[in-house]
Amino acid sequence: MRPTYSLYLGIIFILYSNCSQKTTTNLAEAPTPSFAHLPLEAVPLTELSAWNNPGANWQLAGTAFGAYAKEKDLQLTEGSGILANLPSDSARENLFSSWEHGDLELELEFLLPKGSNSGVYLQGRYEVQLLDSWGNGELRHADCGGIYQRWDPSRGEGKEGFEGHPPQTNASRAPNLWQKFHILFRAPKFDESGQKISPATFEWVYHNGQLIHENVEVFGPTRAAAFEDEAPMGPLMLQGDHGPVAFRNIRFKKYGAQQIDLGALSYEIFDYEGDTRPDFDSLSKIQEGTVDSFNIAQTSEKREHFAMKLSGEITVPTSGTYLFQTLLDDGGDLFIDGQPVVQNGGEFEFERLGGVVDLTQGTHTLELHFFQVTWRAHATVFYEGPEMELQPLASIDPFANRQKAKPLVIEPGETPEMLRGFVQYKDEKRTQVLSVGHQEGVHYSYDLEEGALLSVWKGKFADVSQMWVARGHSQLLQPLNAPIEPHAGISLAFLDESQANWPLEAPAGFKAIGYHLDEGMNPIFDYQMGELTWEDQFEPLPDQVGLKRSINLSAEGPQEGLYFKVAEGTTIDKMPNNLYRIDGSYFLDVGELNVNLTDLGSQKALLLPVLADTKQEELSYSLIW
Amino acid sequence: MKRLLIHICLLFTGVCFSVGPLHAQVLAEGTYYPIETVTIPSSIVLEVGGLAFDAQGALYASTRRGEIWKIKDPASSQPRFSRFAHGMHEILGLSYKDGSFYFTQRGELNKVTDTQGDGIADRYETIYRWPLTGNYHEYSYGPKFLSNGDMIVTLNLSWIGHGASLSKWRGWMLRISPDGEMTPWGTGMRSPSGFGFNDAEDIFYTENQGDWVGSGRMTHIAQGDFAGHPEGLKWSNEPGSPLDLTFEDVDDTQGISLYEYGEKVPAVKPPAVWFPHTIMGIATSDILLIENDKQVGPFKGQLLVGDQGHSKITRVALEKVEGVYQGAVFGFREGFSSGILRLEWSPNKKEVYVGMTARGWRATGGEPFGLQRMKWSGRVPFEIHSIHAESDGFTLKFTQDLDPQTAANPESYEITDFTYKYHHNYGSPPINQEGKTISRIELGEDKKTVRLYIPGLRQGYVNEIKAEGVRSQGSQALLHNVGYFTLNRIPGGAAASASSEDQSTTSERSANVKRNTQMPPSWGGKADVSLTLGTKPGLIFDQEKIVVKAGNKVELTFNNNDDMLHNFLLVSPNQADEVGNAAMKLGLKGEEMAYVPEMEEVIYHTGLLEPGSSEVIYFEAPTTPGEYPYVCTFPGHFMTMRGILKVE
Repeated sequence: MRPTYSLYLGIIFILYSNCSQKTTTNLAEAPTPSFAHLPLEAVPLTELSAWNNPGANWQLAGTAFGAYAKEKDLQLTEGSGILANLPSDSARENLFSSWEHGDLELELEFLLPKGSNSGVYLQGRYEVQLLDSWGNGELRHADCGGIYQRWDPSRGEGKEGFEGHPPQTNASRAPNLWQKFHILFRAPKFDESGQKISPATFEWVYHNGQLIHENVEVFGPTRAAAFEDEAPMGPLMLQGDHGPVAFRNIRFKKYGAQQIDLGALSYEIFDYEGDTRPDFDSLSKIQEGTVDSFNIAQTSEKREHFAMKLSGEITVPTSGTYLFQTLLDDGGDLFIDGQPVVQNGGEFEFERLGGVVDLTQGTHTLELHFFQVTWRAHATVFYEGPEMELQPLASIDPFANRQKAKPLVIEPGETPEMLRGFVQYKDEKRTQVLSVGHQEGVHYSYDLEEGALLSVWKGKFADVSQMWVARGHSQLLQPLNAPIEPHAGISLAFLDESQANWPLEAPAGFKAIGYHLDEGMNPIFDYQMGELTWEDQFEPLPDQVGLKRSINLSAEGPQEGLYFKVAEGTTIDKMPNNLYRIDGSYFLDVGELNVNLTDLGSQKALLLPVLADTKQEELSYSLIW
Repeated sequence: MKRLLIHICLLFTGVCFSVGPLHAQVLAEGTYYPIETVTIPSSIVLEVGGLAFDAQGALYASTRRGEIWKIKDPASSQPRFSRFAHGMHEILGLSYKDGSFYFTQRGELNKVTDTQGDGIADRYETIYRWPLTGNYHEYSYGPKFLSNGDMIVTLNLSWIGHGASLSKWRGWMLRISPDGEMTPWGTGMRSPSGFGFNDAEDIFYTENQGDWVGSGRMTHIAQGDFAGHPEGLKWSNEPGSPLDLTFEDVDDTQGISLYEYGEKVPAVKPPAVWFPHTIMGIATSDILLIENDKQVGPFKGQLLVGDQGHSKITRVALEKVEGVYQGAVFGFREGFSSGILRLEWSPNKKEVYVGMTARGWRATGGEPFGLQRMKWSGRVPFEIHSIHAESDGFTLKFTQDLDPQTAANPESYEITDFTYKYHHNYGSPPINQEGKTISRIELGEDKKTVRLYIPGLRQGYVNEIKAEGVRSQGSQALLHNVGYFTLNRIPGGAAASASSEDQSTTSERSANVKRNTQMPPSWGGKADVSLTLGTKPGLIFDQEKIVVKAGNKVELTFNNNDDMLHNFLLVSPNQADEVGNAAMKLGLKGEEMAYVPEMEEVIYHTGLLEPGSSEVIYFEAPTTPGEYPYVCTFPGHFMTMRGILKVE
């Protein structure tokens, strides 16, 4: 997932509740009702019909798992939802989609056992490498996420390989954890004579949410491509001849050249001084005319306050579900065929709001009811539709050419570096968070109020440009690699026998005392609840394997019904050797701890009874990812 | 964009030094109060949020980057810096007590201790935590210790196009015991970055101009007081709240002053001292009590007040009449290097350490951050020591024996009173200005006091008291010849407390050719070029250069999307400094005149734009090709906020 999405979602969901009753949409059927983008189309993995003559090495599975430390250990259970490749000497075919694509947005999850190797070939020609690159330091084009090199024997021995692109960051997880790519690929383009006019381009590639490529041009098929030529269209290919691999949640959107056409817009300007949505019927018209875009400045109106109606006809090239978004200063509503699709009552934030609508091929009316309160007047309308990328409709996206802020990078020295800033945890902005960076390259963010390990990551530590440059409007500390987000909430609680009701809030008497530093300048977090006190601390495991957490509890006597929550997730897989796999995203090595795998509402959890028959207890476990 | 910003910054740093405002004044002040700079190693970004000395005399500076630096031998030529603590979120206040440091970061009040004695803090404790929504404007300040060991902290409002209290106790002053017992103390605050105590240990805080706040001010906060910004009242129904007034109770009264509003609503506490905006600073900050007459001259019991935007220190002399504080603010020392946030006495109480940061707002000093100290040469400047209200006038006390002739001459003085509107808008111009007549003058037997008899004083008004003509016995002029006295109580009962029926002098000036907000009919409904210019945080325009053709009919839309007031002036080539300095000298009339000085060098201009507003002006570009600067002349802005209109 791209990090920017989560920022949008917050706003967009608010609007969803406002306008869902009023719009004519089929949201119930949409797999992910988001107004940031239309959902991607899922490749069904209940059967292999989406694939062209799959070899015997390709099969469907219910789960895929294995030890992280055992060579090529990929085990499957029966079922569907997972597409797995177990190559043998007799069957090691590559897999081709039955559909072909040009420009493509592709999202897929993959799982590789230790030492394995595969690849995702766009158009069967341009490979993003899949490899167990866990912990690799110096990155090559052949590392996971790399755009594999091209190969030409005629270049001479030792020089055959060329134009490979290593990933910018090693965002790899441990073997047998699920990982994710999100790719925007541009197919090469050709003129009428078949002459190539622009090269194949990876506009961006995200690995586990981390940007690893930006605008990488590829001037010919990479090594081991299925085709030697280049073409406008080609099938997606998953490599099957190198090693075991599993895929799930393969989703895509194809983008073509079709667009919505907008005819002339007629506009009417009304006298209006309010700061909320006007009742247009009660306003007096002061001006009217015709324009060809939503650029409000195009009209000669320069009043500070006014209301405006812009209306016209759109021609829709294909029937289907369309997403519309508006970016308005200050507010207004977008109507299609008289129905409200996007509504903005004059929000303070200058951000996109959206709504979806089903449209048939042909013409439809479109109206924007706009009102201007103070300062700048601005309107951009965006749309996305079947094989139509999200794009402005006859208007200018003011953020299109905005330069990225220069990062302000903080790296730990010999002792751990602590940083306090706001942290984005899933879709929440957490404000009481200490982030700690270690020279060993394993870092974490910790909610001091709850005593929760919010996120862990590896590699570079943090970018604080959003905190320390100018006023620092978001005050967000940004991890410099894709984090794992274990779970939030309090970690210690008294439970009844059912163990089913983990408290959402800290009980009375719970106190986050603060932290003290050990001799190595590592923070040890101190808590108290009644007579109970405990310390919580973290330590990087050697070789960037993961992070060890240690808790030291003491009380005046044994505590009945006291539990420590070690993990929480939608799925928790028990593995051999005291290992658990949480949501397929990290391993937990619990050592000798006697944890219970239980249900907490719709979630699974690993709970550990503590101080059951003693007044002092030390426990530790490790997160491995 | 960032690179561009840094470029502009460097460019104008040079300019600041060469045109530094009012240098003669700065030079004169410097002979009494020299400023020395503490050299900061180039690797350290010391954006000072707090200053404190430990028991051994080492100075500690907390920073906006969340660090605490220990500075050994800060007065030597080679102070030694070492990092004492780090990993906090924008520490905007620091105190030392019994071996520990106490500070606020955004979300909590903390105590840190070096238990090992190795010079590095190793224990970080939470004393009290408050919720945050994550808005950048949720700054937290303090603590300062009361003599009983309790601490005072203040919490800034959020900014969402206006000040807002989005989470509990934003806009409040809190009193917190060392074991974390919290008492909500008072509210009505907007940006309470500075607070402190007088010699009676009463608490005062300083406020910056903004929504609901007509001008900078200093307010005495007793338990349950409401200082004027209504947002904090959203929490007045919470347990522990010392007042019942609710957010809904407060009217946007449009036109009457906070003082007059306070006569209707008893919880309202009008300020002890108003700081006229741009004259006595633009962003008041820390308050420091002058404890005796050996520190900076004979000002025992008075208060020094920092100013972030104007990089200067002012002086406040208070008196208490019928239980109500009132007093005067005077200029004291300008010319510091960055935005003053913190003032702290050296351990020997003879020097003031000045901690500074300008990130995000800029300051006239020009540097992004800094640490300086102000000393006293031991010579007493000729100053108005203090102003005291009388039943029928004022007594002015001076620091030196007076020349009887000039001191007794009414022509030596000029007195005007005025007040500010209490409304939700951003700032207020001075309203209801009225010149006063001195009916009689008596000189005191001590040769240092002057009794002015003035009929018609108005309670709740600010009195601008100029004594430009007064000379000392040694024929010296005053170092600062004006004081602004806020008159809350006329001793012995109020004389006519005149009501402020709309005598407003603030009506828009009639349209003139330099500010044409309607398209001239002769243009036939069409401009040759339509330009849009905006502002960006940090006192800059969003465009450095605009090109037009000579004589072009220009339609210019000026958008102020900052959270401060701005204007736009097109001026003659190379005259931006001239015009900017002239605007700074407009004094009380400045805001009414939109800070547009009446001079030939001003070619075209807009009005003074509130945050979030815009104005369109129409003008014909000069017919002589050249580079015409455009500049914002709101005092303190012109050094950075400028660009070039290139006429081809």
